[in-house]
Amino acid sequence: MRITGWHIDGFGIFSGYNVDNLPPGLTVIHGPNEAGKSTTMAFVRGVLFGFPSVRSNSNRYPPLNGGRHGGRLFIDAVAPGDGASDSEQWVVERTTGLVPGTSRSSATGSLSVTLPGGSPGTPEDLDQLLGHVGSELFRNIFAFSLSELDSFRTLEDDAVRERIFSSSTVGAARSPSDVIGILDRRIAALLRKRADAAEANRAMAELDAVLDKMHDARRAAEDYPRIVQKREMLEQDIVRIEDSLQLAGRNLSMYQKLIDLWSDWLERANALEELERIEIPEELPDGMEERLQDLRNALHDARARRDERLKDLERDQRRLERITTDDSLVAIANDVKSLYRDMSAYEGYIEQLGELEAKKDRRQRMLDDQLSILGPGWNRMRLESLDVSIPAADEVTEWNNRLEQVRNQRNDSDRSLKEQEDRIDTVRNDLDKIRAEFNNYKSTPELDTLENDERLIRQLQSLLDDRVVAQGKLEDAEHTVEDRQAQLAAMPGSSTTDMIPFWAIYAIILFMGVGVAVMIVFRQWLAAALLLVAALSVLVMSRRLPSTSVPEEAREVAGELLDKAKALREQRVEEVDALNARIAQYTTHFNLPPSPSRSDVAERATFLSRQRDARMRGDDLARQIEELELSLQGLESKLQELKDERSSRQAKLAETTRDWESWRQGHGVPEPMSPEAVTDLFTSIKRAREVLSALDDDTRHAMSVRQKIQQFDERAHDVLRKAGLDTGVGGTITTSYEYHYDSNSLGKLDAAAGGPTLTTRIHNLYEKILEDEEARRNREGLETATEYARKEWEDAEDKLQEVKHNLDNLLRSAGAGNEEELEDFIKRTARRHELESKVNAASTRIDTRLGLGEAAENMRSELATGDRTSWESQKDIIAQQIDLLNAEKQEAIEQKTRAADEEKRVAELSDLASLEIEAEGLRQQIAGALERWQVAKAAKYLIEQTLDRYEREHQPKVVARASKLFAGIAGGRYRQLMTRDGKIQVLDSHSQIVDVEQLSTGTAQQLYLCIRFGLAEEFAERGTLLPFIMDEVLVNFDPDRAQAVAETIARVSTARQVLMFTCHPETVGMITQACLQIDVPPPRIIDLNET
Amino acid sequence: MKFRFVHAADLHLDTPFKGIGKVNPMIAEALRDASIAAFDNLIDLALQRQVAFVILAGDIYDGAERGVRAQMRFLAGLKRLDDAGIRSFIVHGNHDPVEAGWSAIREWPRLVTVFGHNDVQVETVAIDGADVATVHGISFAEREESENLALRFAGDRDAGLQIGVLHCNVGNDSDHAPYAPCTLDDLVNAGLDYWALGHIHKRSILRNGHPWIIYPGNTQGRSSKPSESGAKGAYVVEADGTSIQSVEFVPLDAIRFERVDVSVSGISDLPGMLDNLQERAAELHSQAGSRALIVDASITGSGPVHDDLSLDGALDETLQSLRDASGDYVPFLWWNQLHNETSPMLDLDKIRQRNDFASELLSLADDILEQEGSMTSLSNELLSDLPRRKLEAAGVMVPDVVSTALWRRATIHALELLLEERESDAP
Repeated sequence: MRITGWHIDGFGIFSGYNVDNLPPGLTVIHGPNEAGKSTTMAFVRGVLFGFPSVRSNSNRYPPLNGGRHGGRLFIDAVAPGDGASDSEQWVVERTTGLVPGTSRSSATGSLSVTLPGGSPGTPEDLDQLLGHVGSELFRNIFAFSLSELDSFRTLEDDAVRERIFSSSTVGAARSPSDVIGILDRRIAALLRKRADAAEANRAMAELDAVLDKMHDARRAAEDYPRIVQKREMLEQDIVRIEDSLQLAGRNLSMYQKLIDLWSDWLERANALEELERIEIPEELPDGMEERLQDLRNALHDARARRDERLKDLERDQRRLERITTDDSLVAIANDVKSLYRDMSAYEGYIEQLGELEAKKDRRQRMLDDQLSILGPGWNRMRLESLDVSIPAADEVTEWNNRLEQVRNQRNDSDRSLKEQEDRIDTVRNDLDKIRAEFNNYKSTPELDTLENDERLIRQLQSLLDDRVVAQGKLEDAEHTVEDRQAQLAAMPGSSTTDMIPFWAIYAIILFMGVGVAVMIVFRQWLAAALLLVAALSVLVMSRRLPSTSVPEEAREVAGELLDKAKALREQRVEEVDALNARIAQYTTHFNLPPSPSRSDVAERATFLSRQRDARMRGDDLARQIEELELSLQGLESKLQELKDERSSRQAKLAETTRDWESWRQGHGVPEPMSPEAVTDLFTSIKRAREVLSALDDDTRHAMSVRQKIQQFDERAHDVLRKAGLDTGVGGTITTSYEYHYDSNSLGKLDAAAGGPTLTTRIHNLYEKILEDEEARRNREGLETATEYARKEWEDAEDKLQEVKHNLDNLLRSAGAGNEEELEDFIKRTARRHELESKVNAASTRIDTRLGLGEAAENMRSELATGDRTSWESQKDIIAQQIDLLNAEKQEAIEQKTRAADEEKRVAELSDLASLEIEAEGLRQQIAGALERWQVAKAAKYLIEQTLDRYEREHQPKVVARASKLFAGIAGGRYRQLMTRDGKIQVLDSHSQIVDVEQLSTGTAQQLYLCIRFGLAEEFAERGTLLPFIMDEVLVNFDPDRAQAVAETIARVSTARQVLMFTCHPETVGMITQACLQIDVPPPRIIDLNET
Repeated sequence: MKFRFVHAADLHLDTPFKGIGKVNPMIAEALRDASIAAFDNLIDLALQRQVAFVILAGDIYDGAERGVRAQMRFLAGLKRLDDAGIRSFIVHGNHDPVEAGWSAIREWPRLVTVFGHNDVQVETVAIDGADVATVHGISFAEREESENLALRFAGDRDAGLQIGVLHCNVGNDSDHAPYAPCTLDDLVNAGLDYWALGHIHKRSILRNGHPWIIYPGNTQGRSSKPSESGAKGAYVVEADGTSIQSVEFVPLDAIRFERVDVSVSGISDLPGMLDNLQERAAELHSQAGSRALIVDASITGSGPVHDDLSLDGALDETLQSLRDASGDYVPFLWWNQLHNETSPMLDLDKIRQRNDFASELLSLADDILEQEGSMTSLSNELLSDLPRRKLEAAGVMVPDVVSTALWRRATIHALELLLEERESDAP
């Protein structure tokens, strides 16, 4: 195949870059560094085999100048020299979808293959076109740069061998040695001698352990019948022992029964014997003993009851005798109780009387105080005679308010009057000051006049300015006339002009306009600045250009120019004269010199300005005077109103005062007095009268209380006297009122007098009466109780006699002389009954234990022998036998349990099924591992054998071809290449073998280049003819070798397409020269600069 | 008189299962009990159908070293039949010959007849006092019984249905050991009405009349092999006088082994493949009724799934995913093994045309596969590293040669490794 051209949409610096018509032979692509050589090479490799993935670290050559990332290769599938036509051309297009200007990829990209004729192809078609050569192989053999060429040098021998003879030729993605490594690791992981971690080894170890367990289980299972037999023998032993035990148990039971029944048997015999001995006179009726005991108990109870009742009677009689009463108290009992009921009220009155007396004293003192406040002449009588009512007091308050109001109104008028007079004074003062100032401005002219003069003076100033300008122009015109005259005089001759030519103006305008537009529209400041600089340059250039010289016509032109200048000068003179005439009119008005100076005019203007200011101030002051005079008139008018109002209010005050005096005198207030004073007097009188009234109430109340006390005292003394008791202190009757009033303390005087008080005595008497009444009630109760006790005692005595009679009857009925005899009868009868019961009980027990039948009779006979010692001796012997048998049985049971356990254990141990399942699982695992191991081993074998065959068959041919090429390049220095143990060696001109490591870098690169050529030929023989793409491969070679290599490449290009990239022009020359040298068509040179 | 009997064989009590990978304890326990549970099912069947007798045609136990537990359960089952008045006729086969092993059973129940190995023994079966059948049987004396025992069944015939009970290999079935070999003619010529055979685990009716010759197969499958998978059980035979009225196969297995084959062609990814497998398994579980299921899956075909399955550990993870997804089945559904027989999407014919390393490798592999001698000698070389004696001692099957299938797998594997794109894309 050959590449006929390409179109780069966007790749690195290239965008929309086309190359076509590449020849089948040699093409040299030339350009300086960064012109895009490596980019182009990467593009070709990328389109054929795919661009680097996003994840890789390789340069992806993103489209820096736009375009879709990727492009197309045009390929001719026919071998060189076969004459391809357009219709047989393949198009291989690959894009990555990389977004222009970024390194982001929008998609992984896509490959499109178009077959000759335009039908779409597949990736497989491309793969076939490339002879199934992969990316790595293509890079190693066919498309390489200087660095890649040199990279062989850094590889170990095996790696070189790998790169050149193995990987490079297999058409595989992964090298055989890599695959062998993978398989070796896999094999070792599955099964390996002495590798515990290998899968099969690990499972084998587990299987061994399971098999050991199974071995144990089988051995245990073999022992099973013996264990079963032992267990069965032990079970039979246990049955035999249990039979013996049963027999011994029965014997033991028999002797035990004899022993147990012996006491019953003996008891029965003794009872029968005693029964025979007991005699009784006759059978007593049933219940004799109980009846005797009942009567005895009844007799005892009757006696006790009788004695108890007698004690109660005697006790009541003694208590009755102890009660005494006082008949004299009965007559006064009701009076004393009445007094006692009133006594607490009486004590309350005494206490109340004391409090009232104290209260009266306090009120008397308050009354005295009030009277002293009212002043001399005021006593109880006067006070009682004057009654001041409340309405009168309210009226005084109203009088007071009214007078206060009228007085306040009058005072308000006084204040307003004063304030108004002050205001009038202030206005008058202001008016005087303004009038005085106004006098200063009276003589100033009118404002209109002054403003007119100011306008005229400004016009004058303007005219003066115009005259200066006009005079300047006149001077210019005169200078121009002089200059024209001088020019005319100087002609003929050359002259220069400062005028800028039209083309320059146009250019400047154009540049500046474009510059401004660029700046505004595109914000390209730099570009705009450059355009402006260009405009300036044009300007400078245009100024420097010489003008054209025309001496003949110049004089005519200069004459015309002189005439024009003179005419202009005349015009200027007229203008100055006209201005002077107008100025003269103004100077007359202002009385200034005919040709005034600018300072004169300025001074007059300043003066006019000041006069106008003064005039305006005067006008302002006149307005103020006018306003103040108007204001003064109003103030004075108001002042008069205020004065009238004050007179009216003063008259009102005098009238109200008179009315009050009239009321006061009418209401008995003697001396002249203000309403406040009258109010105070009335208040004091009212307070004194209230105190006097309360004092009278207290006095009446005390009198009433004292009467109640006296009444009680009299009743008390009367009762005490009736009771014959002491009535008071020292035996005289003293009213308690006086006594308490004086002492103010009852207790204290009682204590001092050494005797009880009146109330105490009443209280004592009252207690005494209550006690007497209680004693009388007790005596009545006791008399009733004594009578009842006597009746009870008599009943008890009757009951006792009845019981005694019944007892006598009982004894008689039993035939007993007395109670003791009857008791003996009863006792003997009871004993007989007891013995009979014993005999019956013992017989029942014996019958129950022995039962009926012959054995029972034998037992009874044996019991009748009464040989208990023999029985016990037999029983002990049998018990010992049983113990021995039990021990034997227990031992047998334990042995049997052990045997059964062992049987069970063996049964479980021999659970071969579970172990078999486990073992089978492991065998299965091992079998699986072995299967994978075999696959890996066989796969490894296949690869090794193929590799071996491959190298054996292809390597010598490749080396032979490479050797021939290398010898030609080396110029006799090295004769031959050879391989030994897969390692490349070189035979030099002295037949010495040299290792590649001993060669110089350049020589080694030439060697590897030759091997590549050899390999490519090998590929071609096998139907895969691919172009060489080389980047700067000659730079490390000396000139001779470089020339030789160039010729070799030129020769190679006769058989296949060669694309060479270089930045060195001499390389281009060298290659071209080499082609000429060996008569090969010259290369097509593509200069990347031209892109 | 009408009567019926059950014909079963190859109980292989306490049987070791073949080809079962490591299982969890619950599955292991179920597997351990499966053969015994199947036997219990057999006894239940006999009791439910009220059969006159039960015939067990050899290989009661799996080996001479029979387990105690199995013997006890066997005895208990026979006692149940005895209690119901059902007779049992037993012969020993190659797995439990008379002269090998031991017996924990000291005394057989009254109605059990174990045929000896010296001569064909004859037992008459009577129902209500009338003789309805005569059962002839002989046991293996030892495992490798090479005698054609069928020939010993010649002789006079008593009244009733004539039944021969024999453990033998009819027609020299190459998948089974050639013990007690005989031909179909030998059996036909014996003049019996029904041959109750044992030994071949795949059930088959060799002749359906004059006489009937039946292998009932084993009662419990032991692996996913074709002869061991699917329904397993016994025949219930209805007879009327000397005529067989019907034979009915009744499944008795406690755990059923099944195998599913799924092609990954047309399946785009692993989840798709898992769905496919699970659907198939669910169908089988439904068909198995109340039985637990152990499933082996063969994944075949070519497609993208092959690459997924070829990753290290992918097959184990896929198996585990299937087991996880089947955890809810009751009774259980256990995925035993996945056999990855998929092939990469390699066009071998195209590779052969490539004229490169891969094509040369393929050419070499073709040569090896074509020449059996070459394959054998290479196998000796490749397998020389194997600890053969140790593995064989442990009961692991050690191949003598690398099989053709494995050579093919190795070839594909080598090509895959060679052609697999590496993560290298530097220009």
